[in-house]
Amino acid sequence: MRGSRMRGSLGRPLGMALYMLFLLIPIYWLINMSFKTNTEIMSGLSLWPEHPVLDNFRKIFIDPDWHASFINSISFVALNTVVSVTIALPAAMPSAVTGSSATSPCSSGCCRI
Amino acid sequence: VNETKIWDNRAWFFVAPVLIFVLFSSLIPMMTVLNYSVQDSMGQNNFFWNGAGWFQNLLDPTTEVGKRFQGALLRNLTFSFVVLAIEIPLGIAVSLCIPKQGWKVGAVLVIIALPLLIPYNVVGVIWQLFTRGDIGLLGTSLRAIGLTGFNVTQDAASAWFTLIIMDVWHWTSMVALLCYAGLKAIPDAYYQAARIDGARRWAVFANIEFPKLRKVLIIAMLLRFMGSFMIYTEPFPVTGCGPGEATSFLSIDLVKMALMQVDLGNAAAYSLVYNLITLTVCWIFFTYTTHADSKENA
Repeated sequence: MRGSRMRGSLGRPLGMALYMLFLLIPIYWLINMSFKTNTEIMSGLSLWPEHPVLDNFRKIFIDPDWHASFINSISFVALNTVVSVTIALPAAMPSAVTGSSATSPCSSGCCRI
Repeated sequence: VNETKIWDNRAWFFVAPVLIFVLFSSLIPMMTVLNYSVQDSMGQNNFFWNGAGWFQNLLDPTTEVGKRFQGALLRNLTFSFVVLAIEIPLGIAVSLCIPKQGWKVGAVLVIIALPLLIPYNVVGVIWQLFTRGDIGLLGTSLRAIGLTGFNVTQDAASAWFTLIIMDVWHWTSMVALLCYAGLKAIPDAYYQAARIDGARRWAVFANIEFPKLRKVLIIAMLLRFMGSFMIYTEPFPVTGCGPGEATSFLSIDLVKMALMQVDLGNAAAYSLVYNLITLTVCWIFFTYTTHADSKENA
């Protein structure tokens, strides 16, 4: 009993640590690469950037080709949100007005169960 | 005194915008696909009736399209099965490892939720870079420990290994978070009773936690089945359905047929059969859960 409790108290943090390591290593590798120049990336394996540079980030924010895609994504999300909320919000009206009466699709179906 | 209830259904007009919108965004495109699936064309926008021809073609494994569909379907089912077989038990295990109290709870939840917040294409890019044999950490490590044949673009086993581990990386946290919510909902009295009975850890899991997680697990299985059965974006940057056709799943194959080969009739029949499979699986899960619920409440 005591032994199993000891193992439990150690095993869980260890299991969690291993899982988090599994999750974080690929992200670390992406971050690592983002601070390297292309020549450094292609010239071989290094666990951290030997000559860390911010060129890649600078390029993303300054080069119009790159920041155009960010702006496109943001406009898409904004338009999408406005359109879908405007259209979908009124649809909540019948159930709000009629409350729990049988005219509401929800009370006649899922909610009553 | 005798109040009669006033029936005023004018509020239903507010549903009209969403109905009209759904009509244009879903129903009409769907009917277009249905239209293509029963007609053939010689070009110039002249269509003629083809009946169930495309469907017979698709479901007959001796035809070229039929063979292709069967191959993609089997690959996709295998992928979904393997992914579920890893993610569900691993997700349960991870949820049991989440700390119970203190600042660690928040920290752990944030870190394990991280992969869920990454855009699908970025996930693909991360794993493409990570598993490259020349500059990727995993690729080079596997080669260093003796798996010299590890090559995602040349070797089918490597490609499959990468896609499965990528999906496990991306989605196990979702299963874990669902299970964590399920575990949180178990009243403390169950654990107290178990302690009084002197139940061992395994008995607590098998008799209290696992049965209480059943509903949550069914939802997790449904979501993961749907996700992996309809997968498109993540494998594309990693393997691009190769080597050869080794990792060509249904969505990828369908896009190739519809957009690159513009084989509209076959692609339409393909889409509808694909859609029917997902609907059927969804329906089975739904009936099972509602049936189980009604049995529980009775």
